[in-house]
Amino acid sequence: MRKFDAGIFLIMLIFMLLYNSNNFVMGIIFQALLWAALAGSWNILGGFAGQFSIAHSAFIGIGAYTSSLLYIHLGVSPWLGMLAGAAISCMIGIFLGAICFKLKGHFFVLATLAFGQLMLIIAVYWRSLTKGSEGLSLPFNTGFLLMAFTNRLPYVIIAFLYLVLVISVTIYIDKSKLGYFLTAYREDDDAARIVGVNTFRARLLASGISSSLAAVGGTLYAQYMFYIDPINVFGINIAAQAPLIAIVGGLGTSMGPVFGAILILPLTQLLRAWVGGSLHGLHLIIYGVILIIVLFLIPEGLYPRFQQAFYRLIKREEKNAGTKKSVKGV
Amino acid sequence: MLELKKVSKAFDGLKAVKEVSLEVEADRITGLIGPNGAGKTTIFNLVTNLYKLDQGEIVFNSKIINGLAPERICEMGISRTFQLVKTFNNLSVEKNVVIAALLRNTRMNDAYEKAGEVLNFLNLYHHRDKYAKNLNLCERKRLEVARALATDPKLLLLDEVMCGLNPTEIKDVMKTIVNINKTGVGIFLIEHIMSAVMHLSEKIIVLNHGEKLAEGSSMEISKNPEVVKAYLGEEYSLVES
Repeated sequence: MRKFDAGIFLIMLIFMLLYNSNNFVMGIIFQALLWAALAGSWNILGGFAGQFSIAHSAFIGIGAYTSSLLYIHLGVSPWLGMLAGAAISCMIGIFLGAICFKLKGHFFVLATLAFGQLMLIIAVYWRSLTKGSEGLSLPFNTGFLLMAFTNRLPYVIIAFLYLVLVISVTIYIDKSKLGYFLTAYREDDDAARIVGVNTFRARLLASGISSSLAAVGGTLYAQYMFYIDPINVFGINIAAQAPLIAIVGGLGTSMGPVFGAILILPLTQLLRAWVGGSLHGLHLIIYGVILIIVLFLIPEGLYPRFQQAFYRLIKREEKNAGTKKSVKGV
Repeated sequence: MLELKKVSKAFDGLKAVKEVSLEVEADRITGLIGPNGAGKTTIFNLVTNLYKLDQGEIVFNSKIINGLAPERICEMGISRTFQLVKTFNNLSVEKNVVIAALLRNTRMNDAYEKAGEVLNFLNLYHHRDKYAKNLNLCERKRLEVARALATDPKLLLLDEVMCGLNPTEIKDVMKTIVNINKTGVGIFLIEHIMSAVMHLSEKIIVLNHGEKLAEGSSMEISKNPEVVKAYLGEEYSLVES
């Protein structure tokens, strides 16, 4: 299976290099990679532990604002700002978990929704710090240390490495105690605790990891856009996007978010480019219809479905090879 | 080893358990019986702190354990099964047990080894790659026992592990319970199948309407007029007298 995952990465890499000259396509690839990683970071808590958080935008925003403010006011390199954002985000993620993990089911979802929107309101009204809805513009000085480039390829490569980081962390968690404990919580909290699993601590840890990874993506987004405003990073559509991609791709699977992002982001961008001009809002309607159809036909997600097909293919080949061998033996 | 001292619990004013005191000795099999709604499962939930008790004290190996988190209680050596099975249904049988085995094995390989041993002991090893949801009820009940055993408990609470099984399966489960007990694990079991409890338990505790009605060996219990009355109704005992 590992070969299968590695193969997907290889194909993505080839695509990136192939389209290097085309800015539009590179933009789509960047968005897809970034969102695959963001959805992957959400998946650590949302997929493994089944903690359906709608606060992911808060951590993306904290990452974006922390690095941008540090850069604008103190001239701190965004690379360091990225780490600072991740650290702050990690602490807030653990804090939010400590409060919200006592709530079950829908109440948890609503509490995280409220927290995400609270962050949006803070970003809008704390004008002295964030300049409110006016947003923050990053000075256009390029260079590796400033994580700012004129060409889109470096961004795509950074986003690619970010995705590899998120997937690696996810695969590591999947095979570690933490992953086992999180899935045990998802299946049944009482049963998990009764066999000695501290589900609360496991979820706090997962929340910290998930939030700090989201903040890294936030910084990357800010550096790519050279501009952030509250609604673009803290908005409800950002908050809903991460779970959506993970669900379409396959909840709680390491590669699910990658598949989800490969479908959803090109779809939104291409629809906007093709039909966006003809009738206002039409691209969103088509997007919604396609999503409903996909979720209706493949409720378990794209990745598990692909995996099954891949297994079947391998099995058939093995069978063919096996019959050939036996023929030879005779 | 486990002692309940005047333990009480009420749900919205309805007293489910009223000042129950009882003792479970180590290395023995103790049965807990009583009509439906007598408060048997509530006692288990109080011991494992899934319900918080209102009054009283629970002592395990001379330490007070009421108020401790369920995972801490498990760490101290009490494990249990559930009346309505709570296996991790979307995980493999093996992973179900490995999660429990991780309590006393820090390394993943050791946990898998331990899980393999326990699954073998409960005759589930050949099912290890199946999802728990694809097992039948009898197998899922065994899986719950396996999961509890993987935590290396000193005391195992079994909540109606024989319910819904046929006579052959019941005999197998009884044999398993005796075998577990022989390895030095104390057993405290709730059971409705009277012949099984009478046969297995060295001591039986009878609950009725949340109160302790009687306590003693199976012979004493079956002859106790109070117990007969609780099980068969007032009229029966009146007719007999």
